[in-house]
Amino acid sequence: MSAEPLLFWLFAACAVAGGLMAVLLPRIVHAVFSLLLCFVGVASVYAVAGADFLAIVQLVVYVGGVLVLMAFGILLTGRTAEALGVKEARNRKVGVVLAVAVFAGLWAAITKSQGFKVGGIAAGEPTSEGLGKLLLTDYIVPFEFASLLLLVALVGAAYLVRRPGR
Amino acid sequence: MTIGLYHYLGLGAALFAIGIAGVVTRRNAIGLLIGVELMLNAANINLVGFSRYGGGLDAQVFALFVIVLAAAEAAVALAIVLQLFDKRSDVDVDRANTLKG
Repeated sequence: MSAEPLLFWLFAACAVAGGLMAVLLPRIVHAVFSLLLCFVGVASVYAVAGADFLAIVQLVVYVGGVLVLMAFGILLTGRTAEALGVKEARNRKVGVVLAVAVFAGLWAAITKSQGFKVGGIAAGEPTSEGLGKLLLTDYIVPFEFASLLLLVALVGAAYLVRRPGR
Repeated sequence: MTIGLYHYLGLGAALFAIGIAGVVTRRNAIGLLIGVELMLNAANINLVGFSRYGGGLDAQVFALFVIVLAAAEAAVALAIVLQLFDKRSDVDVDRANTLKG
């Protein structure tokens, strides 16, 4: 338990630094690799919080799936510097103001809401058994809909990228 | 200093704000997608924090569904980006401003 605060701050710093670089770096390839740092940091935060199965899913789906998809997307679209969006960012001031305002609002809401019953489950228990039971009992209908949604989304994506006449 | 629920909520709020800044400032459509993924991760961090501090495993089931939705969304969004590039030879969202195909 004594290592938990240190690990949390380390991985939270990883996630925030990766997120900041993913948003601020001008080249989109660098942004995707910074997003890798952010996702690994978030997965480690899950692990620190005792959500072991979610940490692994985060690594497999985001790092192994979404980031690779994004890398392919960049490979297939970025031929010129202009197409890569290397130019100056748009709405820079609006972005900064909006981010600060959203964070301030969320922070105010968080600090005002003192009514959470903070109990705390024991971190360190494996969660996969409980998650599997919940998914196949209480959440069976959303689970099946999620599989249907994935099928429809992937068929739809394959349909969208086809080229007529080839 | 022990870590409490509010640390997780604060981290989630920070990532959400960063993601929203990314959505607003990026020109590249894939940059927008990065911002949206950051915001979904922020929501997941909140859910995991609630799960850790009294919420039980149901919050983690919600986080799993969010990850599924994010994966599906990334696939469809990248398909749209590829079609956009096919039609216009760039992925600048500011210049994709015509409704006629």
